[in-house]
Amino acid sequence: MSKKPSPSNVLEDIPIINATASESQLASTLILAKAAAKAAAENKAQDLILLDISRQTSIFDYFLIGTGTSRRQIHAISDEIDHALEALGETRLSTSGYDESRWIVLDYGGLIVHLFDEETRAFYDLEGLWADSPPVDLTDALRNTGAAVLRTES
Amino acid sequence: MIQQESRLVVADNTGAKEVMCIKVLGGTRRRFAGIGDTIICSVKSVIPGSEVKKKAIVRAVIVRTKTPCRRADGSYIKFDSNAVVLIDKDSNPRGTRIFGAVARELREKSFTKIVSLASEVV
Repeated sequence: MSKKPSPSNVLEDIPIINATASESQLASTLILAKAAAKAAAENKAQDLILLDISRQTSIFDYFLIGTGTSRRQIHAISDEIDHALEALGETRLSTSGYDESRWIVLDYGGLIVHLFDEETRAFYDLEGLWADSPPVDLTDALRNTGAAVLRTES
Repeated sequence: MIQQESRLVVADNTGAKEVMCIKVLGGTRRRFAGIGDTIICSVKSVIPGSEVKKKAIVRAVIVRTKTPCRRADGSYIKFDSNAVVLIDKDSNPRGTRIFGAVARELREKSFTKIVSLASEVV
């Protein structure tokens, strides 16, 4: 009988539990985002940007934006991101724009991946729209892939 | 509850101001459309110098309705205006910016691009 917590203790515990849950959720989404960025960089996606938009909007946490040079490359990048995140146990909620391949959106819940061709990226200017969101540093995630790209070029 | 002859506000920067629904897509005798449904519209008024011309026939997706829309948790959402966003045949938004709040039902109907461009999602 004495094990039951008093009502005041229960109320105090709730915000702490919620805060930890959302922070851990953000951290796990960030891991997914970095894995997706790595997969995109390995397929030579250009101008990769990861934006933390969790403070601007409630329904998304991160936007990963990248550019591909051709329809075939954009398809390859989206397929590889899908495989990489599948390996981490994440399933895609929806995808749109895959067939016409000017702007492919992959929806993973908290993480949204936008793959553009150059012209469409300049037209919609998503970075400009979400300019208040701080970009996440991707140097750690892309270090090895960058080296691989350099070796290929040399 | 949008039907033929309904007038709707355009909530993007294409330059169209008001459109009239001329067809609800999806079904042979379908009468009404709600949030996230695609309709065919005739452009009734535009701002000067607009890319979209008056009397043009356009596709649009409904983003706000005055009729309450029921959610899975039993709550209802309704807006002060009926509004659409113009899209092309591949469901890409024709404008680059979306004005005002849009409903999150659009994401479930695979209009994630519109939700990504919207400043506010409710």
